[in-house]
Amino acid sequence: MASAFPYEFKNTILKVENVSLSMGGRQILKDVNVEIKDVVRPGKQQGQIVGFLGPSGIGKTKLFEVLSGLTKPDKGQVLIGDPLQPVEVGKVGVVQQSYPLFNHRTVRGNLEVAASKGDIPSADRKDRIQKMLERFNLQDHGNKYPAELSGGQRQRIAIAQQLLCSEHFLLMDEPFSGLDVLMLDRVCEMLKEIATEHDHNTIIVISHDIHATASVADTLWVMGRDHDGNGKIIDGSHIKHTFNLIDRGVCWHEDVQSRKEFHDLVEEVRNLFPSL
Amino acid sequence: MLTTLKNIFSPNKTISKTAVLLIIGVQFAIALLAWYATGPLIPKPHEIGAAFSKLLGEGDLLRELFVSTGLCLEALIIAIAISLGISYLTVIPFFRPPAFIVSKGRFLTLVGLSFVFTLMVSSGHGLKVWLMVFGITVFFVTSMVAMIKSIPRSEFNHARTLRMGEWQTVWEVVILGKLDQVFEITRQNFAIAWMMLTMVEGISRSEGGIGTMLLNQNKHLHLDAVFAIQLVILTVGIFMDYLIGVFKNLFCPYASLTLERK
Ligand SMILES: Nc1ncnc2c1ncn2[C@@H]1O[C@H](COP(=O)(O)OP(=O)(O)OP(=O)(O)O)[C@@H](O)[C@H]1O
Ligand SMILES: [Mg+2]
Repeated sequence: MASAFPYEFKNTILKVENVSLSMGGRQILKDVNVEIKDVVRPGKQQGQIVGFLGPSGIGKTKLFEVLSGLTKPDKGQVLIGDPLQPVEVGKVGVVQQSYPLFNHRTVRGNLEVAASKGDIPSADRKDRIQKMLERFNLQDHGNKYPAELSGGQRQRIAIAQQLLCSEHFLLMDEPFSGLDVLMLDRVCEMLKEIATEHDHNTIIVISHDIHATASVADTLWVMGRDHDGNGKIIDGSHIKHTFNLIDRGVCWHEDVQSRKEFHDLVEEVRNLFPSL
Repeated sequence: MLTTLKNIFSPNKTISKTAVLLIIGVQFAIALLAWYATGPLIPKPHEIGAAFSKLLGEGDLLRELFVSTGLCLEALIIAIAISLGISYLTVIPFFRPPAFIVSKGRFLTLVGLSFVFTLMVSSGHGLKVWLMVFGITVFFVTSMVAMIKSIPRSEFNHARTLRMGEWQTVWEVVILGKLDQVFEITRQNFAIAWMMLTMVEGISRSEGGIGTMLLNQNKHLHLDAVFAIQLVILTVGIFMDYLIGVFKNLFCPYASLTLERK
């Protein structure tokens, strides 16, 4: 089915080439190949949100570490940007599963440190930080320490930190875990908002939450392992399925979650999980 | 009344302030009774009080206390400086073996070392200071190294993803980020230093000090004075411990935010 919105895939802005990774003698990733392309919508500013899905323990966090440059793969490489260049730590904004923050600094202090490492001229920093606090609804918490915040607030500061420091890529590990329904909607809204702020903004979501990820993404990759003739699992995860959500008509719609196509897609992905 | 009584002896119960005061009062009275019930050998509170005033008047208790506290603080400051240096350097692989060796120095005895130290330092004061410095450092480094080793990788990675270099990561995560723990370790090690003090002052008595005073009273079997001095040592120790805690909260207000009992 053709999308209701005209669009085009342009340059590749992130490329994962034959990435393999072993840990403790066990193969965790095997020949992972992914290309994220710049989505262009005529007359509209549209970044991209892509999702990696897979059951627990399949190697999503390990792939996340490779994508962010924190872990070097045994084989293969990750290229990023336009033109493509090997990834380095700090090039990609990274929000880890546990939202670590500097606990010895206040909320504002956390953002100041991040801003000082980014490319923001020092004269503009104060202003940008204030705007960031307001945008994430944290303006009353600027002088608090991370220990005094809720999980959702910590997550937003972790995101704000990365937005202040890195350019267009934001990589998030399990951004939907531990959130209530309301917060979940707000995080999804926030991601979509960030994605539309710049043509090159790219958010990579890694998650086992099919529903939430599908509701924000334009492309989904499902990770899994192969089975041998006897149905035994062969170690080493790779991309098993790709879904283009734009073509399936479940992307960029205001009311995407109430569409039948959306539920069909979620169901389809869910049915894949037992075989991964 | 009966339920209160029952609550006092039930696990995880919260009881009223008056009940708490009552319990303390009763226990204190029992302790006092037990104390007076002991034989004539153990000095009684009023005797200790009398010995205390006597020490204060003739025995220069305050001066000795001053000497001892000064010695303890001097050694503590030197030891902290050395220990922090050794511990922070363990972020560099080259400096890990020395720290490992230093922390194993805990199993040496000060008495055995005092001979070696006497040959190396000329004054009695120097001997005492360096014995204490050694004694504190071996424990301090052990705690510090363990603390640094326990910092999870995600905290380092967080700093790295903010484009910090490895040196800045060390500064932000290991040094600034764990300053509150340094205060806590200092607190523990002050207690160790305070305990070593009397022993070290026994090894070199030229300068006096509360430890020397204690040993002298011991020798003359002035048990009341010994008890009085012990109580002074205990009180000053507790006070210093409290003081370090105050400093910790002053410099690291974030440290106690998540604790149930602050
Ligand atoms: N240090 C390690 N040494 C050996 N194996 C490891 C190590 N860390 C992780 N693994 C293994 O790698 C696999 C992938 O782990 P990973 O954390 O990437 O899973 P995940 O897909 O993110 O799971 P979840 O959804 O639960 O977060 C797991 O099976 C785990 O047992
Ligand atoms: Mg994970």
